[in-house]
Amino acid sequence: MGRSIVVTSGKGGVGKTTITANLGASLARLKKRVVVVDMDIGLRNLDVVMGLENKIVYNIMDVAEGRCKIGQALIKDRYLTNSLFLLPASQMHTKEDIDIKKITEIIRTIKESFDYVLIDSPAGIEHGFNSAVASADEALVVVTPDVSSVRDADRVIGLLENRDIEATSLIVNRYNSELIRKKKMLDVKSILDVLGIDLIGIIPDDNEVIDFSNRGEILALHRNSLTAKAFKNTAKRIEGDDVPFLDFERRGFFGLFGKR
Amino acid sequence: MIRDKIMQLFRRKSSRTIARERLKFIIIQDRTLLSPPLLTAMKEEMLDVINRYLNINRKHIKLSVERRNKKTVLEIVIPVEGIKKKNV
Repeated sequence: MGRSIVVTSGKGGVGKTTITANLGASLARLKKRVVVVDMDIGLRNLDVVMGLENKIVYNIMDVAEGRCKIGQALIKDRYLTNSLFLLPASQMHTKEDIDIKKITEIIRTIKESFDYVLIDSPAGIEHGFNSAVASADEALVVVTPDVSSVRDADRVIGLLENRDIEATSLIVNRYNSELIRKKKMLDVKSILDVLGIDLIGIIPDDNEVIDFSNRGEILALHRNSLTAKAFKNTAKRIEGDDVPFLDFERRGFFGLFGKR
Repeated sequence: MIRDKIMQLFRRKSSRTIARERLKFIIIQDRTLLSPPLLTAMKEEMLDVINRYLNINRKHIKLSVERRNKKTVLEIVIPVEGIKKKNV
């Protein structure tokens, strides 16, 4: 039986979809069989980030409403054709159309033949969020280092407390080492002090992420950069490995004095 | 440069510090689900009760709402300066 993990945040635009795609790919690279599920019904985007938008025939609502089988709706990744699959959202429905029971059933069925199901949750804390969370064993909460994002994450963590979620861990996205060194950005420690959950990943602020999403390519599959490494390390931590975090505060021996 | 670092010590708060302070304040309100006047009222009422038995330092009270072991916990730190004579 695989693990289902919801990627959520409360606030929109913090990078849930990009993180879902890159972690899915990184886990697949670790020889795991992975399905990434787009639960942003009506506003689907995971297909675009993965460059699979032209291959969609059926979607999760087609499965839920009995128009096709799960296997028919799964789309192979272009590179990891044996290990990474996308279950797309429907663009024609709204979140109110979701039958939570049916979705939970679908996810449970997928878990029987895959190691991981990563569920990309929509922004917000309404029905869409509830449907994404309902079938999850664990949760990854994504924040960017700013007051509004951390505040919304705190709300979400509060909501997750009251559910059957085994573990909730934090991913800090768009961490800008230059701003951190200049003390112009919230550091990981401050965020963790407030939120009180375990850290599982720090993803650097990297312009290349946009460049790759423009092309519909997953950065973690094509780069060996610090960012790609951060995704890989996060995937390993999800797997249970004890991987040390990259140090963003200092740079080399003279890092102590900062750079200018 | 080291001189910049020294200068920095005398300059105003970093925006990180400001963000941290704002965040802590906002989170307290969000978690307690009380408006600031109600929060203050609750604090004052509690202190009045405690003050009947103990001498406390009202200026150095710390109120926080933290998450521990998946539970939200309200914590109030009240410096005690002694007990009320009449209660001994």
